[in-house]
Amino acid sequence: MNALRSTSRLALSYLRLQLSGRGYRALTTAVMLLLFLATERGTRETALAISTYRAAVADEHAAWAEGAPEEWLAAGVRKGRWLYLEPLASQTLAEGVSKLQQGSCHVRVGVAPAHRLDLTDGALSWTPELRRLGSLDLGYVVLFLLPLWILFVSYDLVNGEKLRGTLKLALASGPSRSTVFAAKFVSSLLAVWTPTAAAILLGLLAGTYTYHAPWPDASRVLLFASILTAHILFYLCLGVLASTCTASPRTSLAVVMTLWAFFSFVQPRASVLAASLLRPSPSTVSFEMKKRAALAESRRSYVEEHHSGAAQSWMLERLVLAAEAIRREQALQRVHDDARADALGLVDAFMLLSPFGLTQSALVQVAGTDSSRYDRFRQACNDYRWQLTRHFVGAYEASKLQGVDPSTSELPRTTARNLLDNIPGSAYREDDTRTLLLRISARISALLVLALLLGVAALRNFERYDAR
Amino acid sequence: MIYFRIVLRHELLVAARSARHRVIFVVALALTTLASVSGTKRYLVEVRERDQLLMEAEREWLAQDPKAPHPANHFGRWVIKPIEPLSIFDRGVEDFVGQRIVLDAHVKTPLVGGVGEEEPLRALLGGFDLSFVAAVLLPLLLIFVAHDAICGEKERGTLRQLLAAPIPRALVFAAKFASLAFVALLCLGVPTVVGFAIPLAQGIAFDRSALAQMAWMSGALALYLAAFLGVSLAISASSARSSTALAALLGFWLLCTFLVPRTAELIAASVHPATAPLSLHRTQQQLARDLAEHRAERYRVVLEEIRKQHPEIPEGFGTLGHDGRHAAADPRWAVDPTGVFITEANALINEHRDRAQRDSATDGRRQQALAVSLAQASPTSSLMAAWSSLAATDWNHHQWFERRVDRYFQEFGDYFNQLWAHNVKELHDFTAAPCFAYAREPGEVARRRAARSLWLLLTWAVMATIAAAFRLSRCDAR
Repeated sequence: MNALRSTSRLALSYLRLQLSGRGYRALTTAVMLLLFLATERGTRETALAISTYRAAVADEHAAWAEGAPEEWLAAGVRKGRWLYLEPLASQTLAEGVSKLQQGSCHVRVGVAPAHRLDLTDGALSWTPELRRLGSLDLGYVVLFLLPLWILFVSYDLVNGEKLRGTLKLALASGPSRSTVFAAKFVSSLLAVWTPTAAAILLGLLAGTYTYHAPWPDASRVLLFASILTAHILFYLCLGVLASTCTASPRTSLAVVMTLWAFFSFVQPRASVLAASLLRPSPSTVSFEMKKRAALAESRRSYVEEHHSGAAQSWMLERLVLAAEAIRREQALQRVHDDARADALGLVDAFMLLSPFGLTQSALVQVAGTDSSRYDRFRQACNDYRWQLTRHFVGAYEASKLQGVDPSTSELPRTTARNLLDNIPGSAYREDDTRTLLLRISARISALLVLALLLGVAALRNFERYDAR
Repeated sequence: MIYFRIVLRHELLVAARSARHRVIFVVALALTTLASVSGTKRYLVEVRERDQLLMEAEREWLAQDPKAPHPANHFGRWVIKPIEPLSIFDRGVEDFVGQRIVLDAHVKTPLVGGVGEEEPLRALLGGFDLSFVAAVLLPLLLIFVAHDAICGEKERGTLRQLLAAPIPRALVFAAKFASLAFVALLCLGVPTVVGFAIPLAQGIAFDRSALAQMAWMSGALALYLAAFLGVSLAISASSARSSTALAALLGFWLLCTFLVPRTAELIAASVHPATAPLSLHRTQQQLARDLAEHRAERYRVVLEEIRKQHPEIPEGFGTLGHDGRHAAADPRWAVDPTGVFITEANALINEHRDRAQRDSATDGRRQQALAVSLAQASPTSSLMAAWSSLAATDWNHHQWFERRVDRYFQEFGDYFNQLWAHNVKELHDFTAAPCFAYAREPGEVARRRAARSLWLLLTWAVMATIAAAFRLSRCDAR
């Protein structure tokens, strides 16, 4: 109990000392400002994304229901349906790939080209320079700038004191070395964690109040706070270890900066490079060619099968052809997706070898802006296209049985309404919280283990440290 | 002059003995070699894939069954963006723009197939090309070389000795500057030259224009590194401790490489907030609905006129979007109404689509223009802009390509319009259809565009050198 009391007393005095430093205050203000601006911007963009999503969904419902019901079957085939990936309120926490991927998809059946699954609206191509510059979102500040600040706070925690001659005094004044170490560590942790959490919280509150952005899920916020803490702990332990391993602050600064640059820029890019050399991504170009070949093949087999006999309805012919093309395309898509997942899995595996990769992957998953969410959406759209096509084939066949050709004649109103009511819905489902929790806990635990190892090494170094 | 030579030789000897310089040289060489080798490999794979696809697409186009002009137009032709040889060194915006399109009659979709869209994680993490190494990592290594050039000597006390010798102060500092520049040239310049030479050694043929652009790229990099060297010396001369100088220089590096470009984007996003992608989508949907109504109305009028001239066309025929081959295949009908309609509809649809894109993308483009201009306050952004302009991988060059695609789309449509106008019922020979012809933007245009960034880099280099000279002349040896 006494040890705890003396540690906390010492930690408080170190904290007071830290807070009085001009350099610390200037850096902290700058980082807090960046965190606040990034969070506020995130909430603004999220609020806008959610409101436009709701409006787009309402538009789609209105567009689908409007028009003369007796024409809807032919018109519905041509019109297709728009599916939208719902933006999550948590995407404020990290932008991830949300500006690189399209969250909307036009699912069309039966019109030329019958097989199209349109997952692009070209918005990315209009402002590529912005994507190249990169944006200052909360994820970027947490991943890149926050570690830098932590390292600046901690790189001379021990050797700086030795240089100034104050370490000797601190060690001679009574408390054990482990108490001094713990006090230094806790004071630095508080000096970093508190302003960070305060700036993010303020940004969230300001954004919620100003733009009426919905508050992210409590579970996601808690996970985000855990990732943030583990991330801070890791870099703090790294900085302290460097300051106990080296004699001069200049050397420890050079070491931590090199490590930071390596973790933040070299390792992720080298991971991508190594993965692409070891297991190249499947060529999308040849995939496109195969899809076209599959369409041509289904067209040929359809002609062989049907054109020898009685003439089909034009629209039914297109639908059956589309269904066949989609079936073949989906088989190809599965092979392509598997190969792509293998290649990206290797990038992920390399990334998870570094603390940066662990934090980055955990952050985008918590925010719901990782590419797997978009992949699942793409898959759901693809499945839905198949369902929709089959639905229309069924509808046309049923109407033909009734002796009505829907491509040239009107359908009875009741039949049209009945078919409209039975349109299948998209089967997109979010990951459940339990799976998310498991995946992110594994990453947080790995970060904490790394931090613990570094912390223990730093403590052992400090206990043998020559204060003279 | 003899004093200058003596000091210079001494400085060079000290530098040659430094293990730090040797490590930095090895690291720089490893980074540039890796970037260049991977860039070359990627380029070769992309070129091979593109050639293969173009060959298959040509074969597919020529081998199609005889058909009416309308379905032949819908069959579509591939256009794939040519790969610039200098993209080995700088990918520019290539990862964020579409690379290919299938021209499909009157349906002109956006270009697709950028890395950002297909493999967003790779685009998010960034590529390891020579421009990244040159713009981000080489200045960091230069800072490690130069940060203690003056303050390190102050700390060790050797500067006082040096200045106490009967040598003019200006000569001492000039020799230090020259030796440092020479060391930087050896440690960073040689690896960069190796990086540039690797694709040549691997047999990639650069034409004269590309070689000239490479020379300009090297010049831009030299100015950029000169700016960092000047700033490093100025800060080193102003600092009492090398750790302070290192911290200040790392702050400057961070400001130039990351904070200024990203803050520029943040400011631009506040000044010209871009519309959310789904808002653009809604605008386009509304325009598409208006267009569909207009189109249906126009189709009814055209069909009515055709029916007057060709009473043989039955009453039930002519659903909008109907496949023309029905009309073409039926010998009773002398005209393909869908084809005639499309002649008129093409121009209308494209006009609407262009307007929709122009209107809905205006905010985003304004934001982009402002962000790019503000980002040029940092020499890193100037270097990257200069390199991508010279390597023909910038946004302007992509627009040049898109304009060529638009023109080709027009030619492709006009060709089929001519066939419909001449009432061609069935097309057997597909060789006569126009092919996509592409000529790269002239090198002078790219250089003119890069000129602004090059001037900015020159200004940075001159200002930094003046600042270094000024600080050195007032340097306190204590």
